[in-house]
Amino acid sequence: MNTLEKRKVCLLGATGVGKTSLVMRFVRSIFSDQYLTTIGTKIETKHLTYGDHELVLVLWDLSGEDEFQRVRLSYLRGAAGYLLVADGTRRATVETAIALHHVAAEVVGDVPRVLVLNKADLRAFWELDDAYERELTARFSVFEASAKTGAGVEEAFRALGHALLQR
Amino acid sequence: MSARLRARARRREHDYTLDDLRPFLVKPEQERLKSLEHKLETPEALAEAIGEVLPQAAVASQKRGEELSSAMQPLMLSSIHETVRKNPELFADAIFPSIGPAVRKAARAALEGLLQRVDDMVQQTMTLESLRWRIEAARTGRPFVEVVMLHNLAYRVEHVFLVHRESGLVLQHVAAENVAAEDPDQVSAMLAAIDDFARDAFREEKEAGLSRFCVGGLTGVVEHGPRAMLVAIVRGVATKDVEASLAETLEQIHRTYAAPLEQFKGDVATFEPTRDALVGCMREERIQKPKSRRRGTLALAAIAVLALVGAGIGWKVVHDRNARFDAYLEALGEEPGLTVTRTGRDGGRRFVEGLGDPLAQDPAALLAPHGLRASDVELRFKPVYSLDPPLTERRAFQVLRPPPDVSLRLAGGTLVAAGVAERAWIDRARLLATSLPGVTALDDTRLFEAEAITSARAAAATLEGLQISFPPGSASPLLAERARLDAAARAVQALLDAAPRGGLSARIEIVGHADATGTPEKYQHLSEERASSVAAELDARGVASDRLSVRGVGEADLAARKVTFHVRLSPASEGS
Repeated sequence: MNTLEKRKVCLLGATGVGKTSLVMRFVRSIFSDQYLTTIGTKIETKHLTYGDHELVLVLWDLSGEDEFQRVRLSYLRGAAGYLLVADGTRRATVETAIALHHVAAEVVGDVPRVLVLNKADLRAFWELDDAYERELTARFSVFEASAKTGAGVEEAFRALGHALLQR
Repeated sequence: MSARLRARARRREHDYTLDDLRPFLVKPEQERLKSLEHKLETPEALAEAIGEVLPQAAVASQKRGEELSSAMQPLMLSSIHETVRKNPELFADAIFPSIGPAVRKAARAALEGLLQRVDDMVQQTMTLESLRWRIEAARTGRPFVEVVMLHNLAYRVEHVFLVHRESGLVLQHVAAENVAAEDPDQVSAMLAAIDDFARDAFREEKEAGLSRFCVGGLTGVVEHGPRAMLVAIVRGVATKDVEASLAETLEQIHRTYAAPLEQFKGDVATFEPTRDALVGCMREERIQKPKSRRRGTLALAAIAVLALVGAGIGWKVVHDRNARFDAYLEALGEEPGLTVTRTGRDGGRRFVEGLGDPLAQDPAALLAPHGLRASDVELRFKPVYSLDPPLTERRAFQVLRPPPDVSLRLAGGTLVAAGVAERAWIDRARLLATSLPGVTALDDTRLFEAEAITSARAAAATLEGLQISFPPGSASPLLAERARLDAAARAVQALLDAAPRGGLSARIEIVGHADATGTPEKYQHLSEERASSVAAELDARGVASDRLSVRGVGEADLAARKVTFHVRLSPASEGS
């Protein structure tokens, strides 16, 4: 018998890591990007199927974190998991992602999350050394993805969705 | 010594005080007093004692009057007040499921009255106005239903969302018919986000939330509960009824789904049964319009227009029917054998009177081609013989029944018959033709006897089978040939008699032959003489010689001292 589950999931990352463009082609959205800069979030949905289970991820794409704006913490409330996005070519964005992870963990607790390193198509220009990458892999489920080619995004969603269904 | 004295003497003897005696006298009472004292002076004991009797005391006090409740009231009030001040959420959660029903019970009676009026109003407004709305719908390009709704509905609930408060996830969603529903999960999450946003932005306290928002003709009404919220999207001006129904439904859902709401992780199937409750929130209310003078005028104008249109249509119907009838009469007039003498109406039904030849077209058969029904017109035709040439011709055919090879036509009173028929038919036709009304003479000059043709052909064959023999060198037939000459004369006569009656012309050649004795000129001359000799013999037997031609063929046919006959029959028109 088919079952339908829904989960709230937040997308978190520094400004300019390509968070929105990364997920754009994998999700369905009826709202414009303007909401990101006005009320600070934009809602998208992602439908996943695991055998007989259908999972709807209601994605709260939160506007990027930088020195001018902060993620609105109340938007994290009720999230079952989150997806951290960073830009592999800028190490600072990875650190912002980790900082956001800590903030989110305080609000929603220890919930499933994945770290997506964007711009896999520019792997040669990444600012992450092997040791750092190993450290990240030890702490997170890390996915290398490319907004340009779309590679890796679906896998990241599926992994997060799978983890959410296990809980 | 008296008894009293004896007693006094004994007391002195032992010197006992009253206190010494009291234990013996009132010990049980003392113990009870001590116990009472303990109960009164020790708070725990006193509380226990009062606790035992308090319910009965309260009941007894109530029986006496309001004294106790009056006394308790300030205490209770301050206690409740303190509780609410210290922990408002606890108090709100506790009374949330029960406060609504009480409020709504009073409102319901008023609402029922209103609904009744709305029903009445709907019945009245769906007449003339609907015509106006159709025009409006055509003019504005909006669906008719939407126009009706805009005019008739004060409001209509188009969507109801049951939303998990913490995550903003949709637990259940229902939408009105014909209403496009965007992704409810996204809409609901966005609403939750806006709710959060509004609270954060204006630093409003936690319990308050977005309760009502308007976008164009839509109003969002939000009812918050401890674990879930209900959001209704309403077209038009939502009344308090909507909020009341949302509140009631939300309370009921909180009562029924307390545990699933608290432990909600994302399994929305649990909330499938709430659909009916949400459908119950899909309310709508119609507008009651005051009857205005303008509306009365409009109604009159509409009636006038309708009357004009009706009159126009009626006139057109009558006019069309008249036109059809006139055309029908004209057709009757043109039809041979029919004469219309009078037309008119009889008890509202049209009639046509006239004279009709039984062989003429049936007047009733002409009704349908002119768009009239048999029931529209009463036909009164009297049978007559018509002298119209087509009818006379038709009658001649009917009476004479000509064979297939005979044609009949009328030319100015004369019936012209042409073709080949048997003698008996020809005789009958000659007898009957002029007795037919409209026929004054029969022209049978081109009417021929089938039997005459047969006779002519037989005579021709007989004649061609005869030959007259001659002695060598002589142009006089042998005497023995006389019988043959007689037969030839009879055949020629029969042929000449029969051929004209059969429409034929006959050419008879008498051909003379000679054998090859002497010179060719001699043969030729002899053959011609022989032919002429036979012609003279026939003439002598009374045959008109002008119908015969004579020819000699010399020695063409060797050793033939004879005369033969050659007949050519041809249709008379081709002949001389």
